[in-house]
Amino acid sequence: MDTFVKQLAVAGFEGLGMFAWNLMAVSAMFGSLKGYRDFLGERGINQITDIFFAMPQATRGVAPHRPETHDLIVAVLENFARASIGTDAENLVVMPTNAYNNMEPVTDEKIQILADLWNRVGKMAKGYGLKLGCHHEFWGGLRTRDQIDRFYELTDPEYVFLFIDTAQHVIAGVDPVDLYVQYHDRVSGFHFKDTKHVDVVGDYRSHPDAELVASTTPQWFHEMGVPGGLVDFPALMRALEKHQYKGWIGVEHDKVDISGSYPESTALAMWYAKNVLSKIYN
Amino acid sequence: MTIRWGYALNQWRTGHDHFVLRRDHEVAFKTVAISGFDAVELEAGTGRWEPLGRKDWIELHYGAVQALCDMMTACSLQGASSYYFDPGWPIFEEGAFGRSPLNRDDHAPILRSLQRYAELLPQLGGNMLVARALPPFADTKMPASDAFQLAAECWNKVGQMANDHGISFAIKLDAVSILRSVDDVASLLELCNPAMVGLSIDTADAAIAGIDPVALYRRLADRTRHVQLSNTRYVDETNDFRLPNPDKTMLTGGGAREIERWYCELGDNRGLVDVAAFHRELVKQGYDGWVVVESEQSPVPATSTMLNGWYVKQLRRDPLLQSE
Repeated sequence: MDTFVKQLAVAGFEGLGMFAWNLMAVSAMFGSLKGYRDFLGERGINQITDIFFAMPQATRGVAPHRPETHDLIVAVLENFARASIGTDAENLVVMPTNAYNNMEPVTDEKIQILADLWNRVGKMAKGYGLKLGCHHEFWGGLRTRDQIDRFYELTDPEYVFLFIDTAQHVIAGVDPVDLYVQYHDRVSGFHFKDTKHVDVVGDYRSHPDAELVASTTPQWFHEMGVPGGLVDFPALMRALEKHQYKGWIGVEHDKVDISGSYPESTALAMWYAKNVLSKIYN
Repeated sequence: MTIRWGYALNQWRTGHDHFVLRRDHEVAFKTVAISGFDAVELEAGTGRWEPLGRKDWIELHYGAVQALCDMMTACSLQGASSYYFDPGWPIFEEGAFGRSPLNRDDHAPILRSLQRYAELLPQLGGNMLVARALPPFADTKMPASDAFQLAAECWNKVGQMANDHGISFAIKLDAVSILRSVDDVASLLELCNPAMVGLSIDTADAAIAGIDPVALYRRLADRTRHVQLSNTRYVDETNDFRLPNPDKTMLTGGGAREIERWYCELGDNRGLVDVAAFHRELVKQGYDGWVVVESEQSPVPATSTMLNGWYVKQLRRDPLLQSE
């Protein structure tokens, strides 16, 4: 943990996002969340920015497209929201569906059920000072532009926000810049990461895990700035400037250790942010 | 007084055929830059295995020296701080398979080799040439006084040449030579022209050799022109430096204690070098020059660079320095 945090800090990161289920673990490791925050602060990381929760597989108890599981999902997330008190986290970020292959077909009726759930969760989260941000995986149930548009039509702008993961949208064939422009007043944060591939063969339905066993590539994600990357980050930064985005930009490079290393990607991503992107909008 | 912070690229060179692609260099340069360093230290080298080791190989890989320079500046580095040269390493292009400053016949070829780097360095933005002061203990088959005299003769010529090119020159103390004390180092330097030949202190190598780097610098601050700031967890308590080819048998092979990695990062909890005290002494004495951070044998070069960058950031905020 010491090595991890120092690397983030020296590269210039100021905050970090964490999985919701790790809140209890770090509390145990450091005596309390305050102990963890002190540990981070001593090394130069001043804020836990968001808490992330996902449920890729549909189970009898947890399936957002099934209303009978909603009470449990709300209760679980309220437990995490309560546990996050003291972190200063601004976003509760969720994967709003199970994997596509766990809920297909995706129908308007199912999207309505999903909207009902996340309106409830968003209202609950707001009570804890958190914005509910929905993070759309290329292999999730809300992956196309039509599905995303329908979902945000049905959700309350006061409670449900869009958390844009640049690479996930590009893989799904959705332009994250255009998405941001349309929903700029509902965007609560970003995961900036890159990809070299668009899924044109239906890999999003791959069993059992489209991020790990797809036919297109064994490695979907790369750090931003990677040669051959498809995300147009400069265009996105220009859009952020136009709409005067104020908030956290998270950097992610999920699974880059398949061909590289996390430390190297951390350095390269922040080099790109400082030397290319911040010159567009800082 | 200005301390300029550089980073040694040698940690990326974990073996032949590694760190050859320009993309690998770019990644390293960006990693060094984002970690807070301004320049990189290069190592002289030979053949297809050392794409940055000689002018001709830089040209083969980059097309021109200027292209490498452009790459470094595009990665937000000032350029190269320095070149490190070991006369004992082979230079295939010159038909040399290990020269020594202790062999008078080698002095002229060593001078000619280093002249190429003195000419190359300014093109890369650098101004510091560093050479290994003495061969390993096992290759020093003469009394120390004779060795010092011969080496000084060689390095004085090199120092004069470097000076003529506007380049600063220093000889480096390492862990495996006959230099085993501050007095030894001082004795060698006394024979070298102070206007032409400075000292390069590698803090980890000094500690491995049983020399306190802080005491060494205090005694020879006026001669110190270059620092390789590094750390180690071990002192050579079993005199492995006496082994033949100790660069391989001791430092790579582990020596009698089978030490997997002699070197460690600056802030390592088990590191023996008092890096903060050394840095304070540099500031106190008004050191003006490159401090090149080095982390040889790094298992994860990006991690080592960032950890060292983080530590240097703390050094620069040292409250004891702020209060002085």
